[in-house]
Amino acid sequence: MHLWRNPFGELTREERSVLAVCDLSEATRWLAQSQSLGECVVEFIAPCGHGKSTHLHAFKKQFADAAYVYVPPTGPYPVFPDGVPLVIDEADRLPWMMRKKLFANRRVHAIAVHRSLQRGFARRGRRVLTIDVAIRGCADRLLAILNQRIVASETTSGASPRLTLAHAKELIRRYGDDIRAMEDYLYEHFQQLTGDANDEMRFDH
Amino acid sequence: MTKCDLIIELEEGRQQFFAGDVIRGTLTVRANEDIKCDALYVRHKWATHGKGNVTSGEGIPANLFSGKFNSGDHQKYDFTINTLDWPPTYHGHYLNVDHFIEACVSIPWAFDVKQTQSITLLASQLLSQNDGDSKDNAATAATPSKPILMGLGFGCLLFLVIFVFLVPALILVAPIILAIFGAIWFFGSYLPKKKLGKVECRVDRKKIRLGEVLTGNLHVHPNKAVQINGISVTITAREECISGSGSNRKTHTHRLLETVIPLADGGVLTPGPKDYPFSIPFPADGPPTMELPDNNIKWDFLLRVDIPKWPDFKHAEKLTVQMATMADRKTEFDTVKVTATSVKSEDKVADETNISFAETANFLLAAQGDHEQIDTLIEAVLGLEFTLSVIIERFVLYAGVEDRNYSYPQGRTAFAEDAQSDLLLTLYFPPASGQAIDLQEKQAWSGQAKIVGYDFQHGRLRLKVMA
Repeated sequence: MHLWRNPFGELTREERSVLAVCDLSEATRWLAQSQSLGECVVEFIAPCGHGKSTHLHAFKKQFADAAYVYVPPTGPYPVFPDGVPLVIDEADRLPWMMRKKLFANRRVHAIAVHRSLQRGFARRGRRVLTIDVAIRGCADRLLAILNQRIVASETTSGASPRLTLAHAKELIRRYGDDIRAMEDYLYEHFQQLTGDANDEMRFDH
Repeated sequence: MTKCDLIIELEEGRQQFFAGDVIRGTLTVRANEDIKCDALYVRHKWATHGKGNVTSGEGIPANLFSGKFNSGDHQKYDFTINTLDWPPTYHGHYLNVDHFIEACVSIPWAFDVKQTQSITLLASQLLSQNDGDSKDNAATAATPSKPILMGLGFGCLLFLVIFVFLVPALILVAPIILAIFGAIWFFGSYLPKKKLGKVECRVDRKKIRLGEVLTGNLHVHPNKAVQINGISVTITAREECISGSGSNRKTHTHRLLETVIPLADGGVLTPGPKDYPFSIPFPADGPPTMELPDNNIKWDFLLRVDIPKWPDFKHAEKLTVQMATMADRKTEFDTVKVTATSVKSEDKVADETNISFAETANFLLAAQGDHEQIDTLIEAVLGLEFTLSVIIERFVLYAGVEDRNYSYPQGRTAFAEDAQSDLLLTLYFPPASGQAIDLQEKQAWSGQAKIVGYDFQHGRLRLKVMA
């Protein structure tokens, strides 16, 4: 198989940002419009497992002094660290009092949420660009995301088999836009895959 | 082109190490441009991969140089670093641990240049969690640290607040909680003991080494005759990995081993005291207990008295399974020393006469745990072809560093067990072998294969299936 690990296992935050397949040009253009620090904010929105955090990590990677904050489902809630910009994952989990601080904090430039916080920022005179990060049935994009994972797990001894567009379409048919569910399935599939002579990949229907 | 190229060469091309070993090698730096180097260092690192959140560790770096490299410079630096003690290299289903040597050129205001070389940390015999356990025990006996005292104070305060404000709620909830715990005790302990009388389950050790035998005893003293379906002990080993965090937190469990040892068949337990001693051998090549953040291997013991139409009696224990010590290995070495002498003389014969695979297997099994002895044996039988009958355990996704030297390009690697002797094998199948491709796991296979080496990490004889 020429793999040193299962491509669909867990990754570190650093690896996720390196392997992210996401177009951040719109977000970058939007932030460049800021007349003052933190006037413009980018909001990545999608359900769980659809790529919000990956987008946030990729966004953070563009800035040397950026700081990442993860908001847990229950307290204690984190204190915002130093660093510009601040990127806040699962920002909509913050309680009311902390949300007020979030909206007022001009160092916050990007957030990842399940529900939009646009109105809260708008009340503070800040403009928000909401980007839906879900793949929305785009098989080409999914294929790039998954094959990127395979490439990153290859040994130097040779190339391993790639997923095809047909595989990507089949995965979308089964799991919709839920990339995490696809990763779970592919992890087990790769564990089972023992390398046929022609390394052909088949999905069990 | 990178700012510089790094080449790590380990002494004698060695790739397998025991905990506590010293790794010696040479790092070559080829500068492709002028570089200001804050530090050039080499260190031993490990990291998990698989379904659990990635966790990693690193040893103390050996600093080799700091200063400036000029474009075209070609420098060599000898290095010596100590291996880390724990965890050993492991490849499972959800959990994998890989070790490597990392060389790094730290460059100010630029990305560091890194290079890694995979190594295998063999199931460590010298030091393991043993030392961690003793430290833990010592820590328990020592005076509580300041944070612990603060935590205790905070806990007491919290309890007081809960007690004052939630007393009315507790009065309502307490009977329900008591009823639940009461039911658990009644069905789980009281009823089974009512049938079996006085029951005592003794496990002699909760810490055991791989290859050792776990002993204990079940003592029952029924007051009247009891019908049972059987008494058994179940030993399980499982990988338990946690991925994600918060609401995305998910636990992945994979059973590695489950052995059921029957202590008594179904029948009637007559009144009076009865003892059921047990001796459970643990596999020598099994995984040790591992407790890494979000990545664990756990061993459990469960004794069960199956009583028909009545709650079963169950006794569970968590076991800590450790690897064999160097002292154990020394004993094994002494045991096989005599065999070793006779094997050496047999080796010469092997070249002239046809030594059978069964004989080879027996010699290897006798020498298990003795690196030097196995090396001698393998040298004698290297390149010999045999007809084998094996049971395929599983095909392997990750070819180890050494496997690449033996496996066929695009071929497959399988773990197998010799059908006659239980010797563990690694088989390299050619890609064109239609017969091999159709094989399913846990199936018998027979065919012609050539001995190509020995896998000390997994304790397996390496054989290349003839194309």
